[in-house]
Amino acid sequence: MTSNGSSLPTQLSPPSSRRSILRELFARPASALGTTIFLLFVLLAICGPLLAPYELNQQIYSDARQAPSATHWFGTDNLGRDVFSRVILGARDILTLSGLGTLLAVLSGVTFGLISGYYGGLLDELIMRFFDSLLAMPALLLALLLLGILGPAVSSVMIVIVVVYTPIVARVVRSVVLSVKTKAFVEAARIQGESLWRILFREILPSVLPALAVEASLRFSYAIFLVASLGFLGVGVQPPSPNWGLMVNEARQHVSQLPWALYFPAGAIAIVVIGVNLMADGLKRVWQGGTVGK
Amino acid sequence: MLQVADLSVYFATRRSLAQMARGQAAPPVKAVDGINLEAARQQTLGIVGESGSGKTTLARAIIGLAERTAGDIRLLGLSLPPKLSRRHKDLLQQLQYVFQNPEEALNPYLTVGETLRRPFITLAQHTRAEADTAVQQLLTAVRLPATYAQRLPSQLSGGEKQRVAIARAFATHPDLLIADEAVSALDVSVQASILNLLSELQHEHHNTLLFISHDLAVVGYLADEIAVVYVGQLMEVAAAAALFAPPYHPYTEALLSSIPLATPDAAQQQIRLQGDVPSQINKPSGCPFHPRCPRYLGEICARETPPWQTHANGKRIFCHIPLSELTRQQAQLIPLETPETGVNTL
Amino acid sequence: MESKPGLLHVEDLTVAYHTGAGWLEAVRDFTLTIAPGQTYGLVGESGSGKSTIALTIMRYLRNGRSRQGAVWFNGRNLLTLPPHDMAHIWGKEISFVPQDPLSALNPSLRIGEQIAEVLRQHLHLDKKSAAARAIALLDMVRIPDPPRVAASYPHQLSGGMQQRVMIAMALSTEPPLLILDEPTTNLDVTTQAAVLDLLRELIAARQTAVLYVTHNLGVVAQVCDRVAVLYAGELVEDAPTHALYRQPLHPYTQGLLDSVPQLGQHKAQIQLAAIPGQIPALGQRPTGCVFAPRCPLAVEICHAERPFLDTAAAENGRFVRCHRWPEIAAGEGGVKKEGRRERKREEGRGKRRREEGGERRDCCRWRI
Repeated sequence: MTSNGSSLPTQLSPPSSRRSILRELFARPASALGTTIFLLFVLLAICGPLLAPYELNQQIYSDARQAPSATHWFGTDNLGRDVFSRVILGARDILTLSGLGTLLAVLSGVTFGLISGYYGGLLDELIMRFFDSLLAMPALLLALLLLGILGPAVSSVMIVIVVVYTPIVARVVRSVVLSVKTKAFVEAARIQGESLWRILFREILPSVLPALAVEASLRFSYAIFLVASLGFLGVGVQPPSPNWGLMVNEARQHVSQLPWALYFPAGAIAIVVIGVNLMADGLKRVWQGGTVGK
Repeated sequence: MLQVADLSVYFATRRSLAQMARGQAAPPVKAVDGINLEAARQQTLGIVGESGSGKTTLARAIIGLAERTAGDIRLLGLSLPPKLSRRHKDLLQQLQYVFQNPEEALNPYLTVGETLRRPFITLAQHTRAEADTAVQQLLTAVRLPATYAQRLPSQLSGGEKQRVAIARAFATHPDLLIADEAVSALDVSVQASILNLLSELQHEHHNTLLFISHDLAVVGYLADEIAVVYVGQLMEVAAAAALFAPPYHPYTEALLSSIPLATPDAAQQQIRLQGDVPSQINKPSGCPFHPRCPRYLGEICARETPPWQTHANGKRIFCHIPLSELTRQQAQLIPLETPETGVNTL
Repeated sequence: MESKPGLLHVEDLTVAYHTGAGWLEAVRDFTLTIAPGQTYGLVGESGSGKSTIALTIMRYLRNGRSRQGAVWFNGRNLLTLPPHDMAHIWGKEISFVPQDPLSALNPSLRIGEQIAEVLRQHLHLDKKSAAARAIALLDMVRIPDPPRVAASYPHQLSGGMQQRVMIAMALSTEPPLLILDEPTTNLDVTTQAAVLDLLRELIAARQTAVLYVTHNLGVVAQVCDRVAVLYAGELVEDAPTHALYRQPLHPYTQGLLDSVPQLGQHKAQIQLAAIPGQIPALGQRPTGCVFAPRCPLAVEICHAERPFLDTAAAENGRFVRCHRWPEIAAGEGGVKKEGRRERKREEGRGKRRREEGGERRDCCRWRI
């Protein structure tokens, strides 16, 4: 009851509908596909080491520069590393990094959005104008700028995701807060002497969650893309990490001889981003269409 | 019990470009403009007015959701801080509110039990277990099954939601309950049970009730004393029985004659108002009702603030026209009722 | 084509909505006849199906379907009319005034243009005469300074003015039938009174037939010749206005009239007779009489068997769907008054008992 973190999941939506969210996602072909893709990649991230036939950086010089075959499904790269294994093992790397980054961005976005929306006035003006100025910059440019300052490291990539996506999440949260805070049930809580903490997190936040879940899953897909892009540009995660973007970059030089080393990680990026996007779209439909009829 | 003295609530508007250029301040919206009211213990004070009359703002100023610009509000002789955040929990406990729209009054994500438990925990310092027992009693008191504690608002009908909202308001035994259009969002067949509930609970709790509505018949039924408001000002204050007999304030007269009676043969006098309710930014000078007044006297109405005149039956009227003159001109608009032959309105 | 009585004859209409739980009937076996020039009130609470009926007649219904019955208008069944023919009826022969005028007016067109467009389309007026006629129509609905209003946009007008514009537009083609869906519900009582005066006058002058959909029995009493009372999708009583208010024959109509305070009544003298319970949800309608679970007069047969729409008085066309109406009608002081008084007395007794802390379940004595 007191710690907001633990009570959040139960507040997602009226109890009966929590299980049905998955069911509704699978009711539409597009969101079913997206959700399946997402869950598959999550599975890969968890069980990757069990499934990968070779070690991450195991170099088999005899097998270097091989086209896809029965022994090396996705072929091998310049250094004789198994592309299939690296793509599989890369799933954990990229999903954790972008997932964790998104989670932190959502947490900070929620905090700023709630405070900004609820208080309004000068504070709101200050926070939102600052965020607007961040949003005015293209995300990648902002990311490059930050990484230039912070230096390339996993933690820097995380900070980049937080800085780039906090304003967007905060905006979404704030807009919902603005519409909810004048509702009678919030005013009722105020005149019952509820604490600010409770009003924000117990009265207002649950109404924000549907929109937040949609936004978070969208942000997640973009975060994957961002992490990959930064890897590709060589400013994010450093070699020999199995970052798909980094793999694409490394394979780029040999694209004419070893196209598979580029296609498979690139394909993995595309598939997981599309998958998560389709799922986000499905979530949106579940909440927009689904709750109206209830 | 409750004293409202010279209460004004103004809202700032944004300055237009022209006003900025001329260095003028933006004119405020005068939602409530100098209202004086009193309600005694256990009394029901009805406030009736049309949209834009400021009746809701008045209620919100008392409860603390709108900040007053001027004037004083006293509860049991103690002045209420204008800001809600400055009010002590003991004070919050004494003042409760029932909102107009039951659909929005309850958090859709909390069960009825969770909603009703809160006032006990926050205001009455109950433990969780004590609060849960109290919730059961509370539900019974508003004639709902105790099992409803597990339900979510979406599983309740409009009338049931309003019962829960009323239960929440009565949880802390308030001295003053404000009900703002508490039945107007409900179907007519449900309204009656909510009105009955409100008056029964009031009888048991001895609380003062401030009942706000646009519906004169409903206010007339429930209230002991009725205040008629128009663009943020009082026009008439009268005991319920006195309100329905002349002399009327010309605005009350127009209101009464506008209500469609559910008796096809009723020979109702038709007094119709011209134009629309004036804006609260540019209020008419003198008597705010003068541009639409069917009994407009002359220049004096536009120039001078009318006096408060008190009739023998205690009714007070804010008008330039002498009461004797009003009585002479006005007809009895509502057939004086006996329970069986009253006039239906819906 | 067979000839049908009246201008509008709704025959055995059943309308169902498609929901997750399949098709649910919102209106069942609804029959109504409106003669030329007659004003008909269709009264019911939310969920009674009154708007569904209005929308079905207009063929505006979304995600619902008429499953049975017909809507005869001037000898043609509107429900089977091809969309092209329906287009000629909309606005020209049947006009519709909705509850919310802003939803029906185009926010980006001036009032005058919107009225002129209707005139040009249906009456084939040229641009100039249509504009002149639009101003005349605004004058007809007693809008002050019509040229100025014609040049304004909908949002610049007050709710009352907007509704007058809607009425002007609806009557511009002199349709034989006007359907009004809660046209004054959003208005203040003084504005409502003025709009009702106007409607009454315009309708009487033109002999326009009207279907007036509302929840407000007071408005119906002031405007309509006949009233049809709906409950949970069924027509429970249909009678001339005077007869209905003088003696309601259906317990629900009685309950409706009894549950609102009458102007000037006070709680000290009278306890309101609330109808217990609530309208059953779609798909949960009882098998017998739809009102039986809430009815103070319900007996065994009411729960078991659905009453049919009986003719209570042939000479003025009174219909009622109640097993016990003959008793209600016969017992001027009998069942009807008894029922009413009894409820009041009983509630009064209950209250007293509670005060005395008597035998009633200790329902209100909670002390914390």
